[in-house]
Amino acid sequence: MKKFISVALIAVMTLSMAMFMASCGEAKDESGLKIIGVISTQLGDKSFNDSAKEGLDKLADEGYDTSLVECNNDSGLWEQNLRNAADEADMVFAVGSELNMIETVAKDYPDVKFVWIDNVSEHLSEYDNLTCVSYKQNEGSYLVGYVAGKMSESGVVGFVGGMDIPVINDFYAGYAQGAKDANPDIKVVKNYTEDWSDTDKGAQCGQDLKNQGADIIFCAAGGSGNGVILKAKELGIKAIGVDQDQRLTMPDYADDILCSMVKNVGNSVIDVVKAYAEDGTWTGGEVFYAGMEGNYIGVAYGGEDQEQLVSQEIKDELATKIEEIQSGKIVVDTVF
Amino acid sequence: MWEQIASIFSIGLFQNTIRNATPVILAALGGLFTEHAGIMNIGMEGMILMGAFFAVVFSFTFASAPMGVLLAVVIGIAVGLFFALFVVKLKSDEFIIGMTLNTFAAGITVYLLRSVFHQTGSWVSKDIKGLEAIDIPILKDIPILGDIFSGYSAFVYISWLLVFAVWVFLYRTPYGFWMRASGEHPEALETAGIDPIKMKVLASVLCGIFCGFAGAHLSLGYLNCFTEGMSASRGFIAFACVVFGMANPPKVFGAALLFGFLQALGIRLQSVGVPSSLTEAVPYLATVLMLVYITVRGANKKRNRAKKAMALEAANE
Repeated sequence: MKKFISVALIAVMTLSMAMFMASCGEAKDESGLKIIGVISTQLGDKSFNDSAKEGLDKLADEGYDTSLVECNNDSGLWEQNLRNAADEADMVFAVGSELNMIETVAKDYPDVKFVWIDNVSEHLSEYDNLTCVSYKQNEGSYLVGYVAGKMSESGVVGFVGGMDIPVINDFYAGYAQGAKDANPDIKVVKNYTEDWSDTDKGAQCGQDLKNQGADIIFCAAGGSGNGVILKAKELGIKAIGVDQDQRLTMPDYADDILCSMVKNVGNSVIDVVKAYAEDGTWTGGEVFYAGMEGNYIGVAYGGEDQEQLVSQEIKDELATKIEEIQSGKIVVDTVF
Repeated sequence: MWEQIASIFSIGLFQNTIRNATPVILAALGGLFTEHAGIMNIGMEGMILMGAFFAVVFSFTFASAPMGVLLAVVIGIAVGLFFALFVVKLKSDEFIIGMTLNTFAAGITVYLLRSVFHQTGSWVSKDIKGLEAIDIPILKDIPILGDIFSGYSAFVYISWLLVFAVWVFLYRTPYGFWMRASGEHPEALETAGIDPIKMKVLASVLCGIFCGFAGAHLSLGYLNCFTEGMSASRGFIAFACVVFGMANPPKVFGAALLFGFLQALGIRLQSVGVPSSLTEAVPYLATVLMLVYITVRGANKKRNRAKKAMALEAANE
């Protein structure tokens, strides 16, 4: 009897796990270009990863065969899932700057096209089936830094980064420069959550920056950065969102978010796929720099019906700044 | 230099210490019971996660935080019974069941979050009502102390009271005595006419309830949201605190506070230019060092005792 109960219970647990697994990846029928996205962390950050999913979803609506795999930040799964994806797909998107094992995988699958989102391979020229998408996040961050610098009353603005890595520091470089251009006396303070999903830690980092005097905080830390937004009211600060228009993705907290620096991963995914599938253009071995042209990078202020926290005056100033950046009059700092 | 040190030890540091420590204190107090009852419970991680998730579910459905806590406790009891069924009744390996519980909790919460509530990653909504912050009269008007000790959710204060309550229960009531005996010497307890299995089940259920508290505090006590995997190893840290504190409530409380302090310190150290990858490792490094210290001290004590006994023997001869 005891044995029966334990076997039955184990069966129930296995089944529920299997159901969970099944709910994550659904197979689609074979037609046209098959595209698989591999996400190093997980969906639901309401920013970077969700934007990539949005791009793939739009492609699926247009008849492409797309699917998505999450690795839940389990580094042991990264290479495995990339290889699994390469076995099945014609084109694999590696979403996440940590996925540098894509280089070895690309070597083993010469017939599959690989796209690495958000980082640049050092030996890129050796590959003709790998392309890297690099975002000019420094330019977008310059713009929100400018907003922060103009709107800060305390004279200190904060930056919460997800990890001390080049991509995130590129955000910081632009942000600090933008804030200083808006107000030369401004002080920029920063820290890192060292985690992409622990909201609690994000909130603590926000509190820490507030204690150092910051009244506007830009959070480039995926899901953990949302902790800053959740606690913004209590801390008495305003947050600046990242990657997606977070006034739209977190509407309940729209009055705590001044604006968002949009890094439109989805658009770049769509453009790379369409260029290849429809025009046959493939920029293997080259970097695709996604900047303000083509709307990959920009500033978003939420929906039309939402109350605007950034004044029209500052928005107009930003428009000139955008022109100046595009014409090369302003050169934004970068760590790359 | 001094300015930098002063900037590290700000009020926020102590506030965050208490915030970090509270879920660990609650879970570790639960872990005390199972530890005394002779069960190695590494399933606390999963228990906390389930508590956190179901607290949010009820808080969202009924727009009431106390309802959330209620469901977290009910789930805690259920998980405690489930754990006891396998470990105590069916005598399965406690390590494996603990691990299973952790994986199961990670799977079921994500599954329900995505399929029933249609949210991915994190669940953020104004309808998730959090526990209200309590200002302690008189204390809140005292500068510094008021900022550090006042204005948390009820769980923070409850956790402090529970430290004392658990101590009284374990060392001053017959039930506590029986529970400790069920772990140390179950046969003796049986001869005394008390069923050790019952005591072990009770310990497991109490652990489930306390972990439910810890989970509810995590999701409703500070941020009012649920994030996939939000227990973030706190169950394991709680287990380490139980071992470090030798399953003695005040000592375990101290260990949890120390851990919370080190974690908060990690973030503060960043502001004076210590690399974040290093500060991130501080609490875990400290945990390992603490455990090494305990083991070495325990071994020394044993050796000293043996030496003394030998000396006594020699003197008698």
